[in-house]
Amino acid sequence: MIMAFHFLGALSHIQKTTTHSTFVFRCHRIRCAAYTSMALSTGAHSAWSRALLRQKPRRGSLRKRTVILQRPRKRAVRLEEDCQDGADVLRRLVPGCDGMDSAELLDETADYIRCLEEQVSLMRSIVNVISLNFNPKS
Amino acid sequence: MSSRRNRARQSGSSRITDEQINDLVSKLQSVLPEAGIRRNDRASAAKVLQETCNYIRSLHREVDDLSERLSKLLEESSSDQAAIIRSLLM
Repeated sequence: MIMAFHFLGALSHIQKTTTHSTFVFRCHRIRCAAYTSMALSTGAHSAWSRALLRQKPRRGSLRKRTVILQRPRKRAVRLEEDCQDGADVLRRLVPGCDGMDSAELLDETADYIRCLEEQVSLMRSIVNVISLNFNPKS
Repeated sequence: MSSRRNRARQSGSSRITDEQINDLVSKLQSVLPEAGIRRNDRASAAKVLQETCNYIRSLHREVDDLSERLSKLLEESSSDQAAIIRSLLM
């Protein structure tokens, strides 16, 4: 719901301000809006959402309002050798996960995927709504 | 003999992390689409990671593709569409 609110607001703003811009530029703005609304709806409790929000300068930047208690130091979970490559690729794909230990990485990944799916589903619905209401000029 | 001792020590320390890893891997697997990976196969942790990477990449591509479609729609649509977007917000 929050994601939809942010994304639709951004789309509306983009439409107003990019009437004379190139297709590529508008595309880029929409893409950025998608990731930002994902991160905003999640808030600051995920490393990936904080990383995405740090990339985008915003007025009144989102700070961690609550103090996250230091988790007791667990022995870092080591994956087997053949999993390390996969884990490294994952660290590059999921924002903000560089140098994260494997346990946290898998946690963040699951969260990131769920959010991505929501965003994709939201964008599909919007495309459908606009397409249904759109009458071609010719 | 010493190798046996080493192996015993290694399996002792990794038994805790194996369980953690299995839990996390199955949690990850639950968010993946049905990919026909057998759940309790220990060796498939690497496969789950690989599937996860592929899935994330495909989701990124979908976002890109949908952004392009939205961009095209916003460009082609009349100003009525702005009203539609605003009405979706209410």
